[in-house]
Amino acid sequence: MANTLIYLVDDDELYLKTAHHNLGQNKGFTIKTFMSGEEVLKALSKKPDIIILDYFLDSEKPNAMSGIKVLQEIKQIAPDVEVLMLSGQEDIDVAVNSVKYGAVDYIVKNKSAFIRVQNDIKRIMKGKEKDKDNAGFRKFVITLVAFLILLIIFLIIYAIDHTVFGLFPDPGAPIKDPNELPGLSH
Amino acid sequence: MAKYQYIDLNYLNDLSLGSKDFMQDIITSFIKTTPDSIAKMKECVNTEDWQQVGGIAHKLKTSFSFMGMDSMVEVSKVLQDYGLNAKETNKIAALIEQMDKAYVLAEEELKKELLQLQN
Repeated sequence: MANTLIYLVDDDELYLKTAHHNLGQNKGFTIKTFMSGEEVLKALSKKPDIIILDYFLDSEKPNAMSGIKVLQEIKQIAPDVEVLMLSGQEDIDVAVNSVKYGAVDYIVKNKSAFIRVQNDIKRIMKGKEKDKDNAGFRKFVITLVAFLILLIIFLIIYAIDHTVFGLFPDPGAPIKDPNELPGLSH
Repeated sequence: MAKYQYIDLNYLNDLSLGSKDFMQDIITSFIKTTPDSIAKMKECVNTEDWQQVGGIAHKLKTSFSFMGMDSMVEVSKVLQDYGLNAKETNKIAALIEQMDKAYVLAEEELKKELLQLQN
């Protein structure tokens, strides 16, 4: 698997450190951490593959952007970036909102959260590679079809030129001496 | 893993994937930040900023779970609910006090663990 750039966003320093430590064990992952939504939005130009985003980013700072607001902004600026939403509580509204605004999954911060996050990352990256392969194959097929169409057009023009105009010669061309025609010579 | 009365570091040990440095770092961060968070919640009670109490409790919930302080995880959940929904506000101060006392007891054990990790 190619190197995967992952952004981790959480205002909880302890969780951020733990997530970084756990996910950082995977050799194919490059991880960058952010403590606010505002910070991660500024770093979108580096084109991360996946963003792991905490839902409750405004827990201590009410003026900070909420996880859902950040998710909406990410999807507007970089729609191809996949977002995994993390939340400290099992709440159906949180899950529904996350998926509604474009998160690929919603994960509760329980004891199996990191395993689930890793599995999700692997699944997303496999999907992305498959999409890339499919896009490459599609490009090849389109090029091949375009070439065949051009070839057919060329052959049609060639055939018209050598059959139709061969049967009806140019009226302006000089008339040949009948004696010179094959089979009439004495 | 050493056995303690107020903390259980088995989960943190699992998360550390065998790294003593990581264990030390997380325990040190916990000791450094938790008293401030509890103090902040007490201030919020005085100003009746219940939303803030709920927000801080939400964050503490994860920290307490890393230290295996299950009863404090439950207290955090209740505080989060009461705070964010501004309900049962007359019970909030007592719950924070309970949390403060539990933290003091846990801190002693965490410091012992830090010493062991350093040796």
